[in-house]
Amino acid sequence: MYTTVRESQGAINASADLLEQQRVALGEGDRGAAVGALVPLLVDQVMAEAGVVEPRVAAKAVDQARGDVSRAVSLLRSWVSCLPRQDTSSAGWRDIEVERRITPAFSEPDGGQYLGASLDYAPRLLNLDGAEAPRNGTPRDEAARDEPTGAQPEHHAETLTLPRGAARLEQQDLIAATEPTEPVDLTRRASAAGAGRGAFQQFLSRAETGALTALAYTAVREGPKQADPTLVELRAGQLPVTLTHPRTGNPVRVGTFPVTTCELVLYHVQVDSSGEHTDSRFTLGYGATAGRVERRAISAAMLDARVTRASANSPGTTTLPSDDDEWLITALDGQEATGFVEHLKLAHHVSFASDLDRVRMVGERTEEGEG
Amino acid sequence: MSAPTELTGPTALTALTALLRRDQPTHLSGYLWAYLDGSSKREIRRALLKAVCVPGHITPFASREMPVARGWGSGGLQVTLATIVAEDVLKVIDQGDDDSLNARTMRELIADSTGVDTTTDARVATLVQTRHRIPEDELDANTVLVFQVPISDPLREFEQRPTAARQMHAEGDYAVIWLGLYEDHARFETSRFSHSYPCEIEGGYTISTTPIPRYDVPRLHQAPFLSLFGAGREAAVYAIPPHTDVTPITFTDRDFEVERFGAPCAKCGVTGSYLTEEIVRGRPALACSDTARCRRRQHEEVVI
Repeated sequence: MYTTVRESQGAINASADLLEQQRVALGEGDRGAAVGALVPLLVDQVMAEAGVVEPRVAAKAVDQARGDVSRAVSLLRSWVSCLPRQDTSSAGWRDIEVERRITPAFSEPDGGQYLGASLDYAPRLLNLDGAEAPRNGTPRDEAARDEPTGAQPEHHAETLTLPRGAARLEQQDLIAATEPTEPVDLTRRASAAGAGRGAFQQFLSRAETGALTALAYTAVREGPKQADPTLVELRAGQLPVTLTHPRTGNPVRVGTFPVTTCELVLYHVQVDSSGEHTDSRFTLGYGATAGRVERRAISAAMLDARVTRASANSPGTTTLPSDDDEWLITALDGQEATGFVEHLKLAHHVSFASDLDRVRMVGERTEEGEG
Repeated sequence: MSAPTELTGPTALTALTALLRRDQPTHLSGYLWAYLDGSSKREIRRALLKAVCVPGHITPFASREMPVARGWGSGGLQVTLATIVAEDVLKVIDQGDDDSLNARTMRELIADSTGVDTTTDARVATLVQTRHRIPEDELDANTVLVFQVPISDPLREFEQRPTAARQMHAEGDYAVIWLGLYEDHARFETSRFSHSYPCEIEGGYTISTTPIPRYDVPRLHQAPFLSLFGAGREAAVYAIPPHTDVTPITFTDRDFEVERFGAPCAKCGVTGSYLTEEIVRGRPALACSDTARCRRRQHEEVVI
């Protein structure tokens, strides 16, 4: 049996009161700043999935959503959805003011490697003694300095810009040609499907973190051994935003935002659907994300490479989801996925009554047929 | 329980209205009349005009992120907010019920951001946003129906790839739907299509009547009212203009069957309305899904 979930004024108000009581109990003050300081990577993830970089507002969204990433992303995205787009700013890989750069493919890349602030190298020991994170081996002070809610890198004595790690491979003509990318504003389009690699790149940069990681993982697991990707470079830093001054026409630097980018190559060569080798060089994949959740950039680069390589096949013939950009576009947006899954909580008794009618009818007619 | 008609004045702040009325707007424009900014309204209206001009055509648009989750009526909400005018009288239902949670949330958001009057009486409403039902009262040319659509494409269950489905629509290639229908009849001697029944629009595109029951489908045929369908998550709208042929897909020697209940409403006693299971006077029973009409009939009976 199924009954309607009906509201009454009292229930909704009581629910709101309860939420407010719990919120007040948590304490007052600039809660956004406190959240930003407490869980900077969570705030980064929310900003990345929202495609909105505004750390203080994102921290407020995390707070208001009680730590639910999907809801915080929803709050951020709907906050900006109806704001006018004032201007655009182009910046490239070379413009990143590097704070961290590792090159697993090369031990000594041009420009060197910089570990920067990273939790990668700390033992995963849970500290049960107090509020302090374990200091042993953890670059906690560095992490605090580089957390995304802080001031941007003007405090660095000098900014560090570096050449791309993959340039070395390109100079030796070891990278297969890729589709050129043009920036696309997906938030002003119906879909990323069929809108080119630039749109796909923006789509991946906002994709849901868990889904992105899972699909990148299946891409490694399902393919032949040679499908193993090699990470050429992971780079994190501040990307400057430069606008044209409306009066003087001069470029003006208005700020920076934290970004992580990744380039990787697939060893397995491109083949078309007939099994013919079309290109024996590496396939390059590129991924970028706002903030410092590095697996986002790595996973995006992995999927970009897979889709790029699969594009040698005729459309519609790819079999693995990780190779199929259209499939990925329907699956990886966290807002679409969680929205639809959670809408199942809404009342469905009208459509279910229609289902019941058909199930009973099919049952009756089948029995008649057998009887 | 308060009737929604009492909610038009100042109401208690819900989470959504608090969002709309927060003390310090975090951007300069604050929240605008009918929430959407001008360029968003233009975008949605353009898509709607195209959808009305090409009946049944799934028309893509740059769906905005709304202050409701995608899949919770963000498409219907965008259509409503892009078309609503200050003189509109608004009715919002979910499952036919003005009081269900989703309807209440939507109504408050729309009414609070526009100040329009709200009603539960479909006969006086000029704009009806609905999830899963068409009001059972007679609707006239003054009414615009806005449907919240979860899955816009009738080809979806047969072809998941949007670009391939678009091509099939362009070529009028609905063979997979006919084949599915044929297989149902061959195996079960009836169609298994339940709600969202596929219908041909004026001899052209086939749409999903999303997701109203088959019972409501004949109401769309040559209807005096305009029907607008909004799918926010799928970033698409489509429309059935007034006085348009809406033909359920069925074989000429097989009837299109609507839901049958075999009992009158346990509350108002009417026969032939769309019923859902409820607890009436402590026992499971079938009652009208259109609660406003049902309540009115109960009241009329008492008066008589």
